[in-house]
Amino acid sequence: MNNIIKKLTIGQTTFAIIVVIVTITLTMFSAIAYQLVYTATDDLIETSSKEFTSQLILNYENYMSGVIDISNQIQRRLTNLNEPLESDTIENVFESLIDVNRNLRGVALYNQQGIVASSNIQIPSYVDPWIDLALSNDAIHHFKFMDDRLFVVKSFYSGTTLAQTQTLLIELDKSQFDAIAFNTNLGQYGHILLLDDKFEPIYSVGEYVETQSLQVINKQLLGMSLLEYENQSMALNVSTIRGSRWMIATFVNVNAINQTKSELLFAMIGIILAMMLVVAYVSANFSGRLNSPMRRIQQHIQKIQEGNFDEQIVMDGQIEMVKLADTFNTMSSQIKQLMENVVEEQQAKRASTIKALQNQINPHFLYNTLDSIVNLSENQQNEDVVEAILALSKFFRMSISNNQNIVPLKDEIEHVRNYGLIQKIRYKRSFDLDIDVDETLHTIPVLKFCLQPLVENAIMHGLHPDMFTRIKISATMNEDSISLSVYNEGYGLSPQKIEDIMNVLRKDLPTQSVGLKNVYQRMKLYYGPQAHLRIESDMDEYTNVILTFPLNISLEDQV
Amino acid sequence: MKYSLIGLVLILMGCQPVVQQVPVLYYDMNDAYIADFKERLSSIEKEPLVHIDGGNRVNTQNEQFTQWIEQSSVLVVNPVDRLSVLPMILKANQLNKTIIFFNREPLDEDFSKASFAYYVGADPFQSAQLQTQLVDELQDSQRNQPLDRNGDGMIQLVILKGEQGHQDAEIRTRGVIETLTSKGYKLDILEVRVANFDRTQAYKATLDLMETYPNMELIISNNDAMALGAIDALVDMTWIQDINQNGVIEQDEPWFPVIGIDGLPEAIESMQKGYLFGTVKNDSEAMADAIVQLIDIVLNKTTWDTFTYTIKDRKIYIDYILINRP
Repeated sequence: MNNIIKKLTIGQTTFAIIVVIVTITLTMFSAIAYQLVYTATDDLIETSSKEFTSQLILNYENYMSGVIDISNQIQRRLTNLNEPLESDTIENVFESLIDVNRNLRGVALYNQQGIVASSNIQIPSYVDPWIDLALSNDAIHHFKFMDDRLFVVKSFYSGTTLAQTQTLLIELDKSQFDAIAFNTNLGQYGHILLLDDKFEPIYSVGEYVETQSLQVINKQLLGMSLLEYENQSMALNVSTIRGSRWMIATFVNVNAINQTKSELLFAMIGIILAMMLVVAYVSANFSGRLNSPMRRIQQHIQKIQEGNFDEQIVMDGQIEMVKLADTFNTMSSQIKQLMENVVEEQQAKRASTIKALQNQINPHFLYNTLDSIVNLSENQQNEDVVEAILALSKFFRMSISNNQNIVPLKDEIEHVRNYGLIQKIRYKRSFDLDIDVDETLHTIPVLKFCLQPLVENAIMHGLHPDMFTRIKISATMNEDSISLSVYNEGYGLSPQKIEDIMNVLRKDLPTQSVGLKNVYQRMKLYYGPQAHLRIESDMDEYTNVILTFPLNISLEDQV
Repeated sequence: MKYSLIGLVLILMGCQPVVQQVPVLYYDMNDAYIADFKERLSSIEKEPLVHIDGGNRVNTQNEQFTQWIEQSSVLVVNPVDRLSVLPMILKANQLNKTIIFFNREPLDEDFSKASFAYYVGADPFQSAQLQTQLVDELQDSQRNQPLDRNGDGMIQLVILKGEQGHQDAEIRTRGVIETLTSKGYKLDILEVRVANFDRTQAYKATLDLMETYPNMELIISNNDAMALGAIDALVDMTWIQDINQNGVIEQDEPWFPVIGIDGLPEAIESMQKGYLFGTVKNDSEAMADAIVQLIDIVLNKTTWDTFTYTIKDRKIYIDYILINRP
């Protein structure tokens, strides 16, 4: 897993994480929502079908209790009569009741022997077994359907002196009973069944398949369930009707409600898929926005690796990416600048070194020196000739042989001493070069050819034609630098002149004094701002040029 | 992950009561007698019972029944309609559950179909028989006025009947008449008046009856509430009169015999003050005890050896108790 993640790009990882999180969240949310709606729908089916059944039962019970009330009323009126009932008596009772209650069609009264004592209706023969049934259980009002007619039979004990059980038969107006469930719409195959205590159907409303209905009712016996009935979803409620021995079963077609469940399921799956597509698109887009700038920066880095610094990344989009690109551009241009600086510096170094070299092997210097040597040899000063030629040869060997730019101090001193010797011969010993450098400092690295031009300047400009001039070279150790000073007793320089010279050096202005300028430039090139050149002077007294080099550069450091 | 799911299931299962609760389905807790009976049952505290009110609706009780029969191996049922218990019995057979019916007796033809069912109740006919014992005592009592006030050898009787068609009312009415007759009393039943077990209706009925039948000698009521209503009317019409106003009817003060059933506290108080002649008490304490003992047996906590009531054909009839004047 971790390995797979490591192989992916940031964009791909982001895409995968977003898609996974959104998918999980969405699926969980939808599952919960669906579960809630599913349960709510089932609850709705259950409560609504229960509610319907409960209301229906209530209506039947009201009807029944109405009938039982009438029956009790009749019984009550008949109970307290002391004489054997006369037919006109019961008719009077009946007539008085029928005015009040339109539900009555007719009444018959049977005596204890089951013989009709009084009647105002034509009594069909199928009634006879009911009379026996009523006598055998006088606690119940027996409701009976036959020939699309509705009867109720009840035996009762007349607690009079008569002390006998009589039986009351009442025929009811069935249309009122029918009206209870008349206008109910239970959907296809939705139906209502009334069953007697033998589970025989006695009354029905709506289209149904008897065997199937009876089978499920017998299995369920009581309560509510959802079932398949003739390919329809049905809510079945089985209960009983108070005051009768009847059971009632309601089959309510809930296909429509159930259908909304599957519709909801499809809708939810659709929404999930659509949302996932949107999320996939958006996150792909987003990860692309993350990825493509990365790729561009990467390509750019490659170009830089190949040495192409000229191209700039043009970036728009995410603010971080734009910033990154800007920084990157700045960085690459700085690198470019640095590289150019390095090249320039190298060129300058090379140029200045060549210049220094040129100064050393200046043909005039060579000519003048050779000229002096010729004079010496003409004057038979052979020892001086030897000394001069030796000095000259050492001087040039050192100039040419060593191509290092930084040399130990003793080499530089040796070089300048040779130079001094040569110049002394040339200038007829009118100056003295005094080198006062402690031996402990001999190994300190200093800039090559840094002293010779200064001594040259001292000789050229400092020498008094009539006086013997002293030129003194000394070295001082500071904390982290070394100072070399070239001191001469001569005309000296005015502060204004010093200022002009320093300006020429600092601002790189054209000048005749090539030697000093070259020293200054090379100092700055090799040591940077830590190296100083300082000129101290007192008019007609002295001039002192002080070079200061930092010590942090070693002989090995030089390029 | 798997374990947390199992844990969740365990927690959810933990919400279910560990101890099996036995549901008691009452027909209507608004009925004072049922409310009192519920208190008696719960005071025994031997079984964790759940008391459920059927609200006097058959359909409601059927729903409660189908809900609880899934959860409990035994149900105690006080039917809203004793004619409607057949589906309950068949459902219990189907699921091998036991029903203990009480207070309202199922029809024999239904009850006989049950594989496991019991009935705990009282025999309403016995309550009528005990009422006739009170008539015997009244006959023998040394009152200033004999029971047969007009000396015609017959008792001019009025019966206050509960509800027409109500099982108890029918059986009590019929039981009183038949038992008195079989005991050799000559009855002149002036009227069987329906007052729906209600005190106010009985009060109005009695006022009317006193006017219609001034020769009335005895009122037998199907319950105490109607008996108290009758006494209210008799006091109003000074058939019963506390002349010395000491709150008690003495031997020589005007008095009229009324007999009730139920043993309501107010009826007993009325009886102790000499107004009501006597009443018959439904021993609901014993009935509750019998139900709890039956539950224990069904749940295999005890055996029949320790059962203290007479059981016949899985029916236990608790005797009524006769309460009359000291």
